[in-house]
Amino acid sequence: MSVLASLKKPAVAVAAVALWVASVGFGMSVLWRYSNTPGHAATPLIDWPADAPVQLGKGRSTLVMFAHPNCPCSRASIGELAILMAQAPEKLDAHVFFYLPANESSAWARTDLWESARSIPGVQAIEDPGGAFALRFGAFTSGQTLLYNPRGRLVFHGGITAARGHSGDNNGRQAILALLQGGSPERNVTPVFGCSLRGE
Amino acid sequence: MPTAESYPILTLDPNTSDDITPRVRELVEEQQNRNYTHTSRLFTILMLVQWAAGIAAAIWISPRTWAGSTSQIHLHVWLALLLGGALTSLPVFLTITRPRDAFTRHTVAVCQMLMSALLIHLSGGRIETHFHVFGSLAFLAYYRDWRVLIPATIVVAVDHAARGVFFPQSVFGILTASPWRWLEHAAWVVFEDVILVKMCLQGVQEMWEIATRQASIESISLQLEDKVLKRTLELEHAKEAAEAANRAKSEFLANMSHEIRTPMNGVLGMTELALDTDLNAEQREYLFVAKSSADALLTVINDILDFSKIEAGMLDLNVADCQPRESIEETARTLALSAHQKGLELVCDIHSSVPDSVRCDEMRVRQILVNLVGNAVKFTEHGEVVISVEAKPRGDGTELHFAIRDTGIGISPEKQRTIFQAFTQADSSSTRRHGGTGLGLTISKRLVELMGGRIWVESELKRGSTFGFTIPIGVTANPSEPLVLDSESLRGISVLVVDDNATNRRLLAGWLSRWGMRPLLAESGPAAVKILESSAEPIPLVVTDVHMPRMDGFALVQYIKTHMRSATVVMLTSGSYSGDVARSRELGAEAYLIKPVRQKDLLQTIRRILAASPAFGQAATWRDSVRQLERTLHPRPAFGLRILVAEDNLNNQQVALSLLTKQGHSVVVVADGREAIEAVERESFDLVLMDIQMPDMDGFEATERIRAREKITNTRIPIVAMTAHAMTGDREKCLAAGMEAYISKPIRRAELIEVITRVTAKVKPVLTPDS
Repeated sequence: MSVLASLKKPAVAVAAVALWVASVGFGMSVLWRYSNTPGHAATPLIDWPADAPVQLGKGRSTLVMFAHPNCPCSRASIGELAILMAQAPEKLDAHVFFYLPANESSAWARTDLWESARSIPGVQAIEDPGGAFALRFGAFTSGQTLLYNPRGRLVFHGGITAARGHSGDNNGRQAILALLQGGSPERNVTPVFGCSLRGE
Repeated sequence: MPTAESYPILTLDPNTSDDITPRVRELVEEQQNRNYTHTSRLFTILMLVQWAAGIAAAIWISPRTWAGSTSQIHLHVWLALLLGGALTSLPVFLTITRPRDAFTRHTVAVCQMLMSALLIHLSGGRIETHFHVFGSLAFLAYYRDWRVLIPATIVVAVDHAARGVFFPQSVFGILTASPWRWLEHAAWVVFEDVILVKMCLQGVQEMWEIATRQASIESISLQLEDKVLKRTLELEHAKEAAEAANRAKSEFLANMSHEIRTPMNGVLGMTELALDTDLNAEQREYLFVAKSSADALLTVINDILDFSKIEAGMLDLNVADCQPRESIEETARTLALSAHQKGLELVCDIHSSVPDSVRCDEMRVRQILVNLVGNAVKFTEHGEVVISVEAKPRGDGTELHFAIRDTGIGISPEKQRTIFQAFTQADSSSTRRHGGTGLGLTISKRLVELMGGRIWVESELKRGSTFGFTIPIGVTANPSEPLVLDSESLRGISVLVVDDNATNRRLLAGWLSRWGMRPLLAESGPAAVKILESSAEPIPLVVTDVHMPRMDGFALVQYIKTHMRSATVVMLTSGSYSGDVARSRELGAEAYLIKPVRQKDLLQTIRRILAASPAFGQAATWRDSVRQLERTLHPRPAFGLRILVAEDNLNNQQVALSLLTKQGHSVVVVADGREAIEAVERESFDLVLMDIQMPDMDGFEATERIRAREKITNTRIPIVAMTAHAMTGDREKCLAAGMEAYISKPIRRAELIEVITRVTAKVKPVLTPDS
């Protein structure tokens, strides 16, 4: 009752409302910043490595995505990959490497994200025990996408979502589509939004 | 008495009432406040639910964030919890504490829209979540306050404008949205707003219309109540006036009663006294006519006063415990005299179902019986009058069914329909021939109805009539011991019943059979002789009527006592034939009973004469019979009492003085209550005859003072009220004042003697001329 009584004083009420507005504003800004803060950028291989676990596409571009099977933000990335594959299925081989800790069985990686990726036509889901392939390709963040042209040359790397967990138009998808259609995208590198693929 | 037509037609017009606008405004405000409160409560629930839903969605969609094989709770979960909590807490706090405030509504609007933004964000910008915005706006419209939509719309517009600039993909789903795309989204929101604003305005308009109607109804209702109040007051005044008129009428009737009875007392009393003096035949004839005329006049006055009392609704019933058998038999005996004088048989048949003790107004039942039996006797020249009574169930209770059947002139069907109406007799010539006011049946009908019963007549011209009536009876709180008729000793004894009246034979046979006796019936003296002579076994008991055609009872007794001395005889006769007793005694009859015979008396008499020894029984039985007869016909009057008469009217003083002196009493006369008290203090009296209405101090007060004094002296002098007041409750008032009995004026000598004898017998042994 004393709190309620004190709230009847205008100054206290105004202060309380101001505090509330500030806390809401702060919360909103945290949310905003988190959504728009990308993960660690990749240091990708410029050329397709000879010891790559998958074959480079013959006459087709090869897309490699590294994902954490439990990353909620990567759900949007898989969704964007599905759009890509739908828009240019004949020009692209896609492989999604799912991180699997070294001491875990394959079941650990068999999440809904795995199933989503596996169900996309033309996409191959592959386990990445201990994150070795991600390390090999220089990927740090879940959702990291690399596009190699048929000659094995890296033409794009980055994320294919505009923000953390946000589906929809994004620079990454537009750039890949442009490249697949023989065009030149404005950007070849985009920020990646997702969980870290490596323990910190 | 105001009638329905005398009142103006009730008119109510809301337009003529006071201005209802303030009330309308008040009602609208009340409704709006109810609406605000109700909607705020709904938002309290909604916001808590959507907060919980936001947390659940965050946990479902993005529970944890990962770094390799390690994870931690996702920031979205914390934001759903904390930011959602912040967005929920303030509006929920306000909706609970200040649900009707505009500030609350606007805060709810802003927070609801911010919650939409949060949910959209948590769901990853799913377009479906945008419907939360539209749903929230619709929900806000529940407030019926279109202004609430303004901040909500502004929040949406600002949010979209900001995101459109910095993060268009989060709200528009595309990267290349126009900088003005937010306007398109805002326009859709405004589109919904327009609909909702229209709905809000319409809702408020309806609120005003409903409030206006309600205020009008209230206004009409108030007018109505006001008019009803006025009418009620008018009716109360009218009722008071009617009651005052009724009281005046009551007082008028009381005074009338008093004023008529007082001179009547003088007329009747003096006439009776004059008749006791030495007169020549002519003088006696004149006085006898004068007395008869006064008697008739008194009957008329009593009828009219009774009728007036009933009409004025002033007749109250005095329901008390009573013994119906005794009361009915007593009434029948009273009426038997006039029946026997006309040579009619009066039979009283009380069924065994009639209880020994009931609750009813005994006096009024007797009055009805006297009216109906008196009429039956009056209109019957030959044959019989039979009173039948039995008890029958009625609903949860019981009622007594009375039937008075006669063999008189009968009533035509047309007259039967009007016979219970006032001042109507079956034949107007009857009034002239038989006398009476024609009010007897009307009074009886009203009395029966007043007691909750019904009355009817069945009749056939020249064959006779049967008047029936019912009286509901109550159960007595302290029922008297039932009369036990011990008839065991009579079982199997033959008895010959001789009576020319079939009803009497049937009645007597019924009683005798019930006692286990074997009745033989004979309708005449010769038939009885034939039975007696032809009987194989001697018949020990003969019950015979005295007055029969061809061979009367005396001849039969003479024959029996001559030819078969072993038979005992009980004679039944009317009390109107003097000399019957002596002749019966001379002829050797063992007992003698007055008709109509009471069941109890007959049984006791038979038991007594059969039990008596041949040597002494006859004498003893005769002594009992004669004593009983004497008591019935000529009760021994009190004698030699010292009586104080308190009476203010000189004529009445003279009447009382003469009547009492002639009875051998010594009398002291005083003129008012105060003198009566002084006389009682000064001298010793056996009885006080107290007039009620006297100057200076009335009889009630004088009696109360005498009774108060007696508490000290530990004595009690009998006081008999003697009043011309014969109105409702007078008897009760007298008894309540401490008097022993009540005599209404005009005082009849026989009644006065009976009352004095009865009252003084309770106090001290009554001296008789013999003693």
